[in-house]
Amino acid sequence: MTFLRALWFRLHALLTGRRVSREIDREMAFHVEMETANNIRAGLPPEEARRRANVSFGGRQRFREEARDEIRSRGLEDLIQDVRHAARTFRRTPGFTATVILTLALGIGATTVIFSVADNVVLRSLPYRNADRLVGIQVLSDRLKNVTPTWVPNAAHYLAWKNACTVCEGMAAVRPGQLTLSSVGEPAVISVYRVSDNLFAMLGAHAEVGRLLAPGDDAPGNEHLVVISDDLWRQQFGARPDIVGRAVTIGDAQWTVLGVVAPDFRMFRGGELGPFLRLPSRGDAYVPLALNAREKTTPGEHDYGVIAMLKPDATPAALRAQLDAISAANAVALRDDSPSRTSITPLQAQVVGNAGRPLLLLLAAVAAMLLIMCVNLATLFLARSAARRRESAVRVALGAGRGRLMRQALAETVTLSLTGGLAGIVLSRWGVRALVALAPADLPRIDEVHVDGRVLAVGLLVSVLAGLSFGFVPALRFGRTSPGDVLKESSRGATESRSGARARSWLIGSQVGLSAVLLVVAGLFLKSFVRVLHADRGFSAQRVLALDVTLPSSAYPTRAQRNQYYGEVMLRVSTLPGVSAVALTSGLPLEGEGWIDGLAPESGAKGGWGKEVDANFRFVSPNFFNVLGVTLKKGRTFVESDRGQHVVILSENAARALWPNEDPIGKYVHAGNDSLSTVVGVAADVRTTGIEHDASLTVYHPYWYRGYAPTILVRTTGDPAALTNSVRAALRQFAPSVPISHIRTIDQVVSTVVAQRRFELVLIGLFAITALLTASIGIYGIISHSLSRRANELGIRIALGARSVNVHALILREVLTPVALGLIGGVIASRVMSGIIAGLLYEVRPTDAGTFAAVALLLAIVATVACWIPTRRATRIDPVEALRAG
Amino acid sequence: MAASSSDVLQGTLDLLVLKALSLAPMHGWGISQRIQQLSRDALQIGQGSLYPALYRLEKRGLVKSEWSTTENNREAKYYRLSAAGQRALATEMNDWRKFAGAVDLVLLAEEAR
Repeated sequence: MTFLRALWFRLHALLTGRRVSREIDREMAFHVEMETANNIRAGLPPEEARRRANVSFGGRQRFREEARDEIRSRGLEDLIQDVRHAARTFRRTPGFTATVILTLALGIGATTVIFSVADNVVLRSLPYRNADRLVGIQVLSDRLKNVTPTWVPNAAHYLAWKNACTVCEGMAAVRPGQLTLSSVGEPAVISVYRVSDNLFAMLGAHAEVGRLLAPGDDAPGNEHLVVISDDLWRQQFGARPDIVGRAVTIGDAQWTVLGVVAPDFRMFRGGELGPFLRLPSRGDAYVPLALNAREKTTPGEHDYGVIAMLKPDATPAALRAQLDAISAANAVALRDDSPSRTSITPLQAQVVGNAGRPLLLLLAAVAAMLLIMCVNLATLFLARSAARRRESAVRVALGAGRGRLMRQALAETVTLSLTGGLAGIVLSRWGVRALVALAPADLPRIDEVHVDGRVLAVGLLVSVLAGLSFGFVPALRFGRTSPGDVLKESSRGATESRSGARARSWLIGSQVGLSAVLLVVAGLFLKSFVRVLHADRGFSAQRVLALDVTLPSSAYPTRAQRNQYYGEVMLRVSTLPGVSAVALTSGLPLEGEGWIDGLAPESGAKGGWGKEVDANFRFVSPNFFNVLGVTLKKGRTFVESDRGQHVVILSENAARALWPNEDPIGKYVHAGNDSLSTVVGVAADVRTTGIEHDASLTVYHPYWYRGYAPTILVRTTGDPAALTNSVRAALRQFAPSVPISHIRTIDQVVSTVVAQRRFELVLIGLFAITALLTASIGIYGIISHSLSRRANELGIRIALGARSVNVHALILREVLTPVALGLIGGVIASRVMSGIIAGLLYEVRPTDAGTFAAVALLLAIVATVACWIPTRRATRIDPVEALRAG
Repeated sequence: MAASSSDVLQGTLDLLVLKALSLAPMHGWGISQRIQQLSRDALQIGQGSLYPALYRLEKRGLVKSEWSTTENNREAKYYRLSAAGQRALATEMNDWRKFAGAVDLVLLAEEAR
């Protein structure tokens, strides 16, 4: 204490003390002078007059400090005193204190964890220079609107816009690709981005070694410059500083390393730049975009992620208007058959995409849970303050101010909540780690999540607010103590006060209502999740291992050579023990569309074109349908004798789109740019872009048609993952130069697709269950406390002949009324909430009666049980004892 | 916390200061002179302890202060009673009278025995 006070004085003198001290000094000096003058007038010599004045004034230093104490330090000293008092009080009741701190640690910890995720993913701006002026550019396509509202632009549009745009400071494009790095160690597939030469400068990226691509590097002849990532530099090149200028073999060419990009550079990934542009999860190498003549003029290659930086005063709308005007003016050169229209989205919103809403919902859910906990703690403290009414009454009688009493009560709760909050913040470090592990990998920016100062500040703020909120009502009652009444009122014979009953009803009702909202949301999510899991995906296989192979074009330049490789793969892998069948495909279900092209029925004359639709093209081996469990609805699969013929299998929805009421078998289609093909079969619709999206129209070609089927499917008799090594070894053995990547089981594919839903469900469910438990414990606590205070009343009732049934009915009526009111409020709030989250549900209506009814029933049962247990105990008491004990 | 020299007199000192200020606004020295004079030199208050009392009263909003010049053209801090001070003075005077009366009764009873 002495130390604290010394510290305080020093601090205080530094901050405000000096001015105040000067003022006090001046005032005291004036006083002494007046007194001296007075003494001189009375006839004393000046020296003596001054001495006497000083003596009668007393120790100046002491009074100065006392005066300063009066105006300043009271606040802090009182506070320290309050906190010490609180600490002493809590040490006397360790069980109570531990319960409160633990509750708070969990509640505040969970809030901190969710906030840190939401903050990093949704709220914080992207780590780029002038990130608020970066926008993503996509085009709307009327032709494709069945498949997607927007997609990424082609090269021709990008170039036309870039050259003529005046409202943006710059425009950059990226095109992802995968190539084999083969000059060092075992060949590895790396992700190689082709990027426009202004990308790094626009994003404000820095080089760690050497330099980055810079404007001018796009010039012809410069194509073979490469910038590598920090990870690649460390893993493949041992972080050698002489990397700059070194030649490396990537794909089939030699490249010169320009430099290494700093490790904090964040490349776009996943679908951040638009649908149908699956970006790899990391960038390993960056080479100049260097568009060739074919790319500049092929309208169908919508493969470029395009971003722009707006000028400081420009708006996305202005950019859109300008780009549309540029497209319209160059429609012929751009080969637009209808006017091309763009869609401009701030990059932040585009990157966060759909992840924002569920995270904000989670934040709301965790806040609701914390609120329930606070209400619960408020009831605990209310009960405690009732027990301490005598203490407060005595203190008021002894002269303590009401404000002081309230402040002391608040100091107690805030001390507790800060302790709990600090524990929670410590816990949140593990919580964040667990959450990141649980989160779907494609949740944007999830790997950037961490606990930092901002998150800590919010955690502390929440702690203080929580302490104030659950301390407020008890403090109010504490401060309102009227000493006479309390001291007069012996606990004997007193029934409960009316305001106590009202507070109790509010506390019960609000806990029930808040729990209802959380439970309804969790219920709707659960139902959606079950619906998603049981949705018809179009394939039924379960024990299938999939792996991707990348055939280097140097070793396999021709279609015949590639087909030979594929044939060999099927032959060799199918003889491995544990393998029942092997198939090939160009893409797995649920992993997105690969190749989109036009599909039109033959119409009118021989070879005439009917109405064209866009479809997803797949290249598969004949047994693909069998291995993956895709039902053939009509016709047959491919056979060896189809080699050299033009045959296709259509998905059911594609066949229906072409010929709504006719048998498609034997009919002819224009599939892409190829010759007229015969439809030989119709396969069940397979969900392509996700379980929750309708299946795309799909056209299947035999793999040998293009010699392209990079995904090998291995159906196994046992656990597919167990065969990973033997399959890989078999492939390595006969074709060592072919890199193998992306090994996964079909179950993992499904699991990845539902990862986001599972993540949301687990968290919301956890919060809802915690809320339910907290609320039921709270109700139990309130009832048992109020019954113990009413032991007298109950004793009298029983003594007068009330039977246990009557007492039960009495208590139940008192409790179930607020429960019912809370439920009504909760259902109304849930209905509002479910409307807001309707977009996050899958085949479940936001008004789903089953969920609402189940939640209401559950809460009613829980509340009844929570109230019945203490009541039962209360009715067992001996009336005589109860009356005496009172 | 800090023990004050005027512990015994604290409540009384506040009352005296308020009373003195109710007559006219004045500076610290003036207050001490006025109290001494009104009590016909019977009450010698510790002059220094006046200031903690003044700051305490100011913090409670019972008096207000401002710097201004004396008739001798010196800078001094003048105190005056606030509205809350007027009310507090009335209550405290009442309380004091009751208290003093009660003490009187007790003392008189002792003498009568």
